[in-house]
Amino acid sequence: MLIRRLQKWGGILSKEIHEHQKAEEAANALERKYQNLFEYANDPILTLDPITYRLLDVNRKAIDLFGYERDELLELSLSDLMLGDNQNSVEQILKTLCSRNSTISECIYRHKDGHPFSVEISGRLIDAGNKEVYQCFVRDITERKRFQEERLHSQKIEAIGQVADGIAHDFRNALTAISGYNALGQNLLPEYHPALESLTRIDQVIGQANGLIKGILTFSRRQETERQSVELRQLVKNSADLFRRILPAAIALEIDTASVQSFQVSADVTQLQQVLLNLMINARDAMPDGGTLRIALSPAPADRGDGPDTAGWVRIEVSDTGIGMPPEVQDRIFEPFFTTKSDEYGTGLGLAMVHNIVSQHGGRMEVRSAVGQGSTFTVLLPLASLDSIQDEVISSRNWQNGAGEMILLAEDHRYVREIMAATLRHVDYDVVQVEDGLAMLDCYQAHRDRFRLLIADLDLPGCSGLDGLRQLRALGMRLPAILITGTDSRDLSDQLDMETLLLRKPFQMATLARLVYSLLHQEARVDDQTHLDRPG
Amino acid sequence: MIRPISIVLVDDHALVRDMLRQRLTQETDMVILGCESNAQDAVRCCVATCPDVVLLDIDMPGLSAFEGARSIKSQCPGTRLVFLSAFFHDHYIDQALALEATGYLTKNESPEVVVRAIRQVMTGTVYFSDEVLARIVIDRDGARLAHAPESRTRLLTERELEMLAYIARGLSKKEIARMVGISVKTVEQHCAHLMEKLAIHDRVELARLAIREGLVEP
Repeated sequence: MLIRRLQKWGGILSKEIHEHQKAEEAANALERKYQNLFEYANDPILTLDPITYRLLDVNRKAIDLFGYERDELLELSLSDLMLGDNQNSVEQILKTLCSRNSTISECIYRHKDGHPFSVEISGRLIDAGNKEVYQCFVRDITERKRFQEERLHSQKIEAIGQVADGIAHDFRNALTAISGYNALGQNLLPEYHPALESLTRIDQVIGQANGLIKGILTFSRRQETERQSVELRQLVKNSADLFRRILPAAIALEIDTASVQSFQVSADVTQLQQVLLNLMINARDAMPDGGTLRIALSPAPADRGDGPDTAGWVRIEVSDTGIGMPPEVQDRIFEPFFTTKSDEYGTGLGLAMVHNIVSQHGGRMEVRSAVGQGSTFTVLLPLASLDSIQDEVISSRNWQNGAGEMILLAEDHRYVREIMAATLRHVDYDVVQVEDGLAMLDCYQAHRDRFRLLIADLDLPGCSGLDGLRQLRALGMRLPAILITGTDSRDLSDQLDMETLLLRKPFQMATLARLVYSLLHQEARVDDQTHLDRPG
Repeated sequence: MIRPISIVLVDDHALVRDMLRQRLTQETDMVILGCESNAQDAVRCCVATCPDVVLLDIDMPGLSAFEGARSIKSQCPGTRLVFLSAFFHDHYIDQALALEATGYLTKNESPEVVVRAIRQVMTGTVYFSDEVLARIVIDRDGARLAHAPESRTRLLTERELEMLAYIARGLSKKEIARMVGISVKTVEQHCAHLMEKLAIHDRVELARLAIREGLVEP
């Protein structure tokens, strides 16, 4: 009986021991799982004493975030990690977290090296066995906050820009009327009337006011830019040479472009000059007692945080050794109408314009400054792509004029023909237009000695451009010719003679103007294979 | 005797309109047939008088200048369209080219340039400043502007762009339908399409986009 009972108890005991072992294994597994989750979580996790706020445990991410060793952190309380004296803030945050159960709070902490960063903190009071502890999840939101601030800033700038744009619109209408009435008045007066000088002055003032409108439009991003390939090293040198003349003797100008050979950017050269001059003027004004103004051109470092990767970009730095700026001025320095200069000298638009020009060119602006230690403005610009370098001729400033040479233009699309004719007339050619192949043949026969160039669409009605050209060549025409095609993708190079080029659509008017000039001046270059074919 | 060049002037700014009227009437070969302050009245005036040239401001309240121009072009095919805008905006120039306008001037130009442009377009050619000419691209479909900024509005049809501009001006669908002469349902369809293409379903955001893209003045 006793033995049976002992056997039964032994069985129960053994079962209980087994179950206890299983429970212990499960608890250990849970503990290991918790430890793994805690240690390898992608967000920093802190465990705090609920009374002293001392850190009881931290994971790897928390160590990375705060920059301290684990042992160092376990000597600190949460308030030691916050920026400034924040004992009350810690209590408030933890109370909020507990009362609302995992509500998220935002606050600013300090890294071991002293730099502040914004975090989002959530957590709750948990039972840790023998006592309750706070468990907090922390997330670094510095980048997110910066992005939000930049977004707010750009929205503010955009709103002000829209207002400025509206003002510029009405302002220009008023100036148009003033200018027109002024011209009417001048026409009504006799040649040497004393009032004419005053009316001429009005014209000058209108010109200045239009310049101001242009400035406002640059700021409000509505002015059209005229892009071309710009070699930055030369631009920096030229701008510095120009500026050197108006620098006081007490300011030394240093140019450092030694680390680069050549940097091509796709830019509006006038606007980039404006950027450099504005930055140089600001640097000069920041050094009333003299100093050094330094302009440095160098490759931009890669991985500059948020925004596009600046690897392969170019960096222009304009530095001064002047009075510097406190952080509150740096925060507002690119805002329109913000100026630290007296009313007489500052409109507050200079740096806003600089910022917008750089943005329009796909670049970024940065500023570093400390009171009494000078300022450095950094312009980061993407380099020109091969395409934009090839499009150099887009600028109308590169156009070269003809000398009244007569061109026969045969194109059946009326609007296209008129635009081409207007372009060619604009660069001083005399253009005779026809709309079909037969008219082209007749017109050439009628004025054969006067034409210097033939431009014909390949698909002309009546007689194709190619057939017409063959007939004219058979009649002895030796003029250079340009055949234009938009639909014919055949390789026609073996059907063209040495005096004929095939220009494929799409093409820019600037390309046409350049090509005509080249042909008439014996400088034809086949340097744009996407548009031009020549006999092989 | 050579018939004078007949002109209709359209500008919502009375100062500019009156100044141009005074200036152009000084030219013996030009005659002003009408001075209007909006695109609706411009269409009515042009249909009644069929002028040689209509000088159209772009940013005016009511019917858009481009919609008005389209109507003038279809009803008076002989009338040459010359746009006169406060600024060079890529969207404006692009739409002017799509309408095969014979000229695009800014109000920055002197009245002498306006006179010259009117005479030039009467010779059967076009008048654009060299900055605009340099950027025109000839492709298979005609003329367009090169290097116009890429934006989501590129996805929209001309009609949808018109609708976007009206929405940005704060017009209701009913008002748009009445002004353009189409049904409210059609306006709603256009609006639904453009909102889908732009992935914007908020009128305020649409207005912000339209202003940013230069479709309307703020």
